Amino acid sequence: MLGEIFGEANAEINDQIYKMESDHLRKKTIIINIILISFVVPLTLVLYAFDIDFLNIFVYLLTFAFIITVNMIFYYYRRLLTNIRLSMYITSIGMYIMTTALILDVRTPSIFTMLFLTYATLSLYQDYKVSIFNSFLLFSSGLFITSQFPDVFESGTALSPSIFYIVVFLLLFIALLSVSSAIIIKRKNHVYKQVVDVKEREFKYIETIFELQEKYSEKEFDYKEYYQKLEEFTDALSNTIGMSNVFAERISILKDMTKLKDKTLSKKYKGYNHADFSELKQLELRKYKKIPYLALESAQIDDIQPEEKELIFERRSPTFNDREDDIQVKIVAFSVFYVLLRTGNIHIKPLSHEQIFEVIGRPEFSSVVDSDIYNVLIEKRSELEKELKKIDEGSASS
Amino acid sequence: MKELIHKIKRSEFLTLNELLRVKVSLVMIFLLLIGLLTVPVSFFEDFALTIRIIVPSIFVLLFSFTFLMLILRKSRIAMHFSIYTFLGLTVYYVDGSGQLYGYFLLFITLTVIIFYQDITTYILYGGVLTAYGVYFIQTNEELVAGLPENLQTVSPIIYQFILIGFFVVYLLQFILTDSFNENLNEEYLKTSKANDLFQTYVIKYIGELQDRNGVTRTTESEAFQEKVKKVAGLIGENVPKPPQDIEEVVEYYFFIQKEELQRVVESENASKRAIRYAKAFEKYRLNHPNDLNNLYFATYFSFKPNLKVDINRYERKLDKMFTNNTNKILAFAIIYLVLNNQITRLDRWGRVNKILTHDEIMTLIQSKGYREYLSFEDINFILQNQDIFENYL
Repeated sequence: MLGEIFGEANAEINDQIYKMESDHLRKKTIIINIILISFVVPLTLVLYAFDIDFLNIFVYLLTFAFIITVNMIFYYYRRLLTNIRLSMYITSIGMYIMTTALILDVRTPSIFTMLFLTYATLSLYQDYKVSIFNSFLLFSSGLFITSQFPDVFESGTALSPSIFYIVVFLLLFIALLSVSSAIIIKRKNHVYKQVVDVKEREFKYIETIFELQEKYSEKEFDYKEYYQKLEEFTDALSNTIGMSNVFAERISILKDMTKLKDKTLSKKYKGYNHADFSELKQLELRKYKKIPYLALESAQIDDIQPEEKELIFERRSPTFNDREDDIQVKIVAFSVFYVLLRTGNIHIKPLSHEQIFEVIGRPEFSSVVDSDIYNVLIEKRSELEKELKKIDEGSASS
Repeated sequence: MKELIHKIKRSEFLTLNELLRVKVSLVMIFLLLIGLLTVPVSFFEDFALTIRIIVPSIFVLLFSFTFLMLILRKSRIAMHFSIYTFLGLTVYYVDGSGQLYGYFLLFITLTVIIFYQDITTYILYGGVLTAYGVYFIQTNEELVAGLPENLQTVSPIIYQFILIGFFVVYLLQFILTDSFNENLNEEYLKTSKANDLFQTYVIKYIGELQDRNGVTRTTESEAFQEKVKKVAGLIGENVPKPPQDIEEVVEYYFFIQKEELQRVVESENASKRAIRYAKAFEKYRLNHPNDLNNLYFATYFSFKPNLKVDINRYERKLDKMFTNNTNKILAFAIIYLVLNNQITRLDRWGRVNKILTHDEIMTLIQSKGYREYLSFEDINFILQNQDIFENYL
């Protein structure tokens, strides 16, 4: 997969994956809150039926309210509370404490399976760390109850189950669901990586197209002229709408953004905070170029709608290792790739041996080329490099 | 077993069918464990001798059949039979013993069905099993016989509520996972398609620039071909079974750069090997969007700095990118400026040389796909003020 090989351990890319994941997890906290709210009435009725003290019932309800509030705070104050996992840990601990207390308060075999429901609810997060924590909490709570309070399982009949079997069932349950969660989470993270990778490559394609366009039209991208046109346009628009020109200062910020550092900008434009500048960066034309890139992409929108429903996991990855091809084809394909990278072209600069071998050296690259070719590249790297350099020098002199 | 663990560790790279095979194999291990743990128990229960013989025999039969299907690579049938085996075990214990084991087995079997992550299978088998569990609890008095009278009504309700709750929560998980995968999958497909298109633009631009500057195109460059020959020869010498004809293959690769695949395939003189190689080289042609260029650009881009914008990096919808109308209007104007001043599309001769006119921009923003960028209100605003857009941008 390209994402695994070329979406390298880049801090910026990982940061984007984390942001995407955090946004997704934040939505999950709302779903967990809805489930929790739907538990309130049945739980109160059960507690009432078992003659539990009003004070205890109040404590349960207070715990519910606490968890729900924590989730809401983390959802709404995302810029302040960036680590959404904290809210997930608090929810997990709170729910297991409440479930264990409920089992010990009610003390019938039926309520023990409430632990399974708690596990199911928390598994909705589909987060690696929280999933491990969830399994750990389920096993510890289950073991604590079965070992310290075996009377929970006494139904008063001769059919009360053996503690050994309950622990074994618990282990099987956790093992199966943990593997299931691990697979789902791994695949989910893989999808994130693939999407981020393909998006980042899109930016670089667009950037290359803009660069090539300048060469092709022999005219540099005149961002100053664009700003001037924006000023004239916003003047005319303000006059037509009949309001003062609220755009002028922002255009002035955009112009300054191209040449000034963030700190200097903050000093110059005191009425704007960090969030305002971040938002405006999207409109800047020289340094950040988000909207021009978006405009180029938007022009293709009708041509990029997927015609067939194809799954990421079923999509064929680009490779020099098609199992149906002869070794000759694989060698030639890789050699063309290598020479293309080494020679570059009228616009693309050649990569150095070191850069190329840095990519080849990444473990995931082994799936892109035939194993025999890969072994030659890795095991005989120094000899190959010497020979390849000779080939370079030879053609340079010719 | 080692291979199975390795496959689970790298499960994100498996196709759906390969993954299903891994899952069935794992379920069979669990099935064997549960069978070994529970089937011997039946010998100590108060069952007739025939049942004591029939149940283990059916278990062995179903298990063997599932295993056979797995070997024959009929993973989907194997999946169904592994579920049937679990369902059989559950119904046998729930009906037979009436103990809490049976109730726990309901959860284990639901877990197995969940494990397969197939929403239809889950609704069908999971739904039937949950309904059966609810019915069993409703009609089985033994389960609550020893409890105080006031709890004999509440306890079955708790059993039922938790079982239904468990089923519903996982159903919700299925729906959420499906919708999550679908959204990201669509985004991935769309962007991949855009990248294929942009790759074509880049290749075309480079070709035209080479022509304009009198630089020999890579497909025709003898120096390039010589280098490829030497590199291929060097690698060819070092692989375990060095091929003898690598130079010929390189020459053939460059020869077919000028030929259409269809012509080679239909040529009467072409040998079977020549046709096979022509087909194989189709994905490695220079100057075409294909595997070779995907890997080439991906490698080249991995050394290019990333876009600097850190917020809403992948967002398309302007409504979500900006918190106020002032910024949004500036964004409309920049989009219009780029579309109306820069080359953004192929022209009628297939060159990357098309600058959109005002009317074309207005048609574009009103197209269905453009809803991904602009809301109805945004489009109305632009249409109402289109004269200003046209005259000043």
